[in-house]
Amino acid sequence: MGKLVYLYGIIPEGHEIGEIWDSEKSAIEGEGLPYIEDFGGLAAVVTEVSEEEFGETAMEENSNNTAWIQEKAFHHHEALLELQRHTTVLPMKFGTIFESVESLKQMIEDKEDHLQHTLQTLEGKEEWNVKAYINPKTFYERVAEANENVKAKREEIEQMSKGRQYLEKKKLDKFIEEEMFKDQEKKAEEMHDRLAGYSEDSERKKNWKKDVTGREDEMALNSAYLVKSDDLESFLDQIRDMEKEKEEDGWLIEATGPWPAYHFATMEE
Amino acid sequence: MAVSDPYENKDIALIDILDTVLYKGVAIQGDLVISIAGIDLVYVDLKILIAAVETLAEAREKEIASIKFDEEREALERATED
Repeated sequence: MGKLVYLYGIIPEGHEIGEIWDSEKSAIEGEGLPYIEDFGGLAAVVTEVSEEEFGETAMEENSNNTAWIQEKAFHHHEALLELQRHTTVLPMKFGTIFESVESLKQMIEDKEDHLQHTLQTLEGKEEWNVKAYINPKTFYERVAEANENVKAKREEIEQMSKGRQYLEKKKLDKFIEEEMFKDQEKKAEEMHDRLAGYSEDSERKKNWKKDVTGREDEMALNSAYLVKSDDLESFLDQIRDMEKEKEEDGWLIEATGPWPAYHFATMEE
Repeated sequence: MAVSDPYENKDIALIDILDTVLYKGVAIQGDLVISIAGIDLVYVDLKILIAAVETLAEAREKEIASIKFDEEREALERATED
């Protein structure tokens, strides 16, 4: 069975593997360390893998194996975390494998301008991920007492005949709930815009449902930001302030980072 | 606010990392194996990976309310040592 080339990421030329890789950590397969292939200006952090484990058929099988995916995907992530501590890195998606160094070289030559450009764009910047959660109970109560549309609706009901009041009050719960979802999304969008204002680039992702997060509260914001290292303190200050402002309304905000720039290293020209 | 590196003990760190490294990062080409102009790429099928993340979510639902990332890492390290 043949050998394939596993690509972790692309970095600027001129690094030794020893300075950017934790020597205690072996490559994704086998005992040795990965190595660097220089392609004039750009360099690739790669390791040889076997077709038995990383070939097409093997990958199809292995990708059904959650334990395997976890182990290998974590390895990939940890490796990129280490790389980005030492240099600017274009992180590959987990499972980017070439048939040979020659085919990797060809890809890099084909995409050289774009890869160079992206690498330059990422220099001096960090990816931070932000998630905001909402406690539906607290937020519901807050909306029920403070939302202007709910207030107006209540006043409207007061003016009605007793019989209609009874019916309308029964529907009020549903009305408050709808207003709550609108407010939640509006606030999440405001937070995102505010943070995007302190970032060079941003991406809002889909919120995860409770069966994925395993949490009691609801995810309201799931996003990634590319922040200049110089702006990081101001960026994090925004989050601290927002949390203070919104805590009483049942919001919780979490920031993690720096991440390898997974969300901002793209191949789209 | 919780500011931390991605290794901190977070309930959702595990899924966050998987979700990110499986779906984000430089995607050179699409799904599975692509053979264009002599470049052969093996690519994990996204649909299968979605299933993997869902399975993970289900498993954690059943077992424990939260997965401690450090424990996961230790378990992984042990698994790799064997």
